[in-house]
Formats: sequence, structure tokens, C-alpha cells
Amino acid sequence: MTLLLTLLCIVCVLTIGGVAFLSKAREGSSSAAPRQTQAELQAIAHNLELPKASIVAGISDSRDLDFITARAPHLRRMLIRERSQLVRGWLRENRVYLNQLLRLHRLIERTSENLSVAVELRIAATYLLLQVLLLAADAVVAVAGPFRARAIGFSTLEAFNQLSATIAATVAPLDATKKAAIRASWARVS
Amino acid sequence: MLNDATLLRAIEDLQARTLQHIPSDFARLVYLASTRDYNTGLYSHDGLAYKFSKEMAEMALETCHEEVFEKLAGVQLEQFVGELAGYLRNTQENPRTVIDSWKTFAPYQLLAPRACRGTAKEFFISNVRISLAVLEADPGLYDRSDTTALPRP
Repeated sequence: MTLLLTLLCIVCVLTIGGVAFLSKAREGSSSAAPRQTQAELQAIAHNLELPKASIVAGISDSRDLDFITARAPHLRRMLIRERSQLVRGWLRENRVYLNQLLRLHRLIERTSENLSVAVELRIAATYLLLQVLLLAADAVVAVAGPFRARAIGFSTLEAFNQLSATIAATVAPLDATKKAAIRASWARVS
Repeated sequence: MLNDATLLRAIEDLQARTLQHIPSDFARLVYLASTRDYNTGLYSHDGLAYKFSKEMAEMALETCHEEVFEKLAGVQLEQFVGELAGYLRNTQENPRTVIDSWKTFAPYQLLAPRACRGTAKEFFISNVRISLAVLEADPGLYDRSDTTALPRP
């Protein structure tokens, strides 16, 4: 029981800390950066996908709930049910994207000669944070509904952007032969 | 040989001669989706293919389809309902019949372009479903004599 409580506390602290850290990071981040990162990664992994901000912004927009509440209150439950399914679907997609990203990272790792412990630790920490955020978002949707999951959804996006940017930075120093080898391996495994 | 400048001209031609004369984004989306063959998934437009080429016409239609879809996918539900209401107002059919038919056969599931998949596509479909329910409950929103119900698209 004590162990379970301790684990719960660690998860809560990690989530709150992660959300706070990522909210700060988001304020200073450039909106063009993820697109550039995605292009860099797709140059070696053509079908790699990353989550889009427009989707989470749309499916968790509370103004839609306000509109339905004012115009057609009998459809409120329908809207909440549909949006909950959409947020869960979005989270499932994110788990797939995360696995893809990690698979690509393993391919890059095998090709690289100069692995940096600091970079590997950062990737592992962001991966763990993302797993916690995805779990927490699922819990928020179940407990408080889809419109309350907006902040955690954006934090998930920010963590994705950081993870993909870190992985993209490990590709940049590789020469053309190594990049071609990764591209070929990716084509085989994906 | 396909090139960007020719594609741009084909898109401009499509916009000026056809899309510009369609009254709303939702109607444009329905039109563009209807130019795609259900069996092959390929777009076709005789006039555009004659003027440019079959491949160029396909690319222009697909590009415009994606652009219009992106535009509609980014709007709030209130505007989305307004778009659908505008479409119903301008259709030649009885809006009530269109709503019943859309609810029964769900043809709106075929309105998304090929590039749009997963949650993005489901989000659009869900918005149409909810908008149909809103419009079914409040016919005043698409009533042709009452144009002040919701902002027109």
C-alpha cells in the first residue's frame, strides 16, 4: 500500500513537473521548429509521422462545448462522448508515433560511433515523461472529460517536439553513407 | 513533365473557373470530393485535363481538396454548423431530405482527402455528425427565409 502511494506520488510529481517545465519551454519555442525537425527526420525515415497541434487544439476546444450548451443542450453528452473518443484515438496515435520515433532512434544509435551519454539520458527521460503524460491524459479524459485534457495534450506535443528535435540532432553529424544505411534499415523495418 | 509552375496555373484555373463560383467552403469540399473516382481514388476533370494534362488536373484537384479540407477542419464547431447550414440553404434539394439522407448513408465519410487519416479524419466526421444533429433540432438555422440564424459562410 505504501509502495503504491509512493509510486502514485512519483507519477504525480513527474507529471506536474513535466507539464510546468514544458509550459515554460513552450513560451519560448518557435512554431517553425517542429516542421523543420520533422523534415530532417523524414529525410531518413520517409513515413515517420509526428502529432499535429491543430488536432489537439480542435478536439479539446471548450468553445465548442459552450456553443452546444447554449444552442442544443440535449447534445452535450453526445459531444462529450465523441470528443472523449477522439482524444483517446489521438493518444493511441501518439503511442504509435512514439514507438516509431524510438525505433528510428535505435537505428541511429547502431550507426553512430560517438554516442553522448547526456543525449541518451535526455532521450530516455523525455520518453519516460511522454509515457507518463499519455497515461495522465487518459486518466484526465476518463475523470474530467476531453476538454480538461487540453493543457496536458499540448504538453505531450511539446515533449514530442523536444524528443524529435533531440533525435534529429543526433542525425545531423552523420555522413551521407550512414544516413543512407539508416534509410535502408528504416525501409526494411517499417 | 510535371512542374510547379504548371501546377500553380492549373490550380489558379480551377479556382477562377470553378471553385470561385461555388458559394461556400463546405460546398467546395463536396464538389472536389465528387471529382474523385470511388473505385480508383483518382481525381478527374475533363476541362482541366484538356487544358493542361490528366496528371496535372489530378494534382490540382487533390491540392485544392486538401486546402479546402484543412480550412474546414480548423474551424470551431459553431462555424462548422454555419458552413453546413449554408450548404443546406444553397442545395437544390429539400434540406430536411438531405439531413435524413446524410444521417442514413453517411456520405460525408467520403469527403476527406486521401492525405487525411486517423484522428484528423474522425474529427471531421464527428463534426459533421454533431452539426447534423444540431441542424435537425433547429431547422431555423438553415431556413432559407431566415438568414440571420448563424453567420453565413
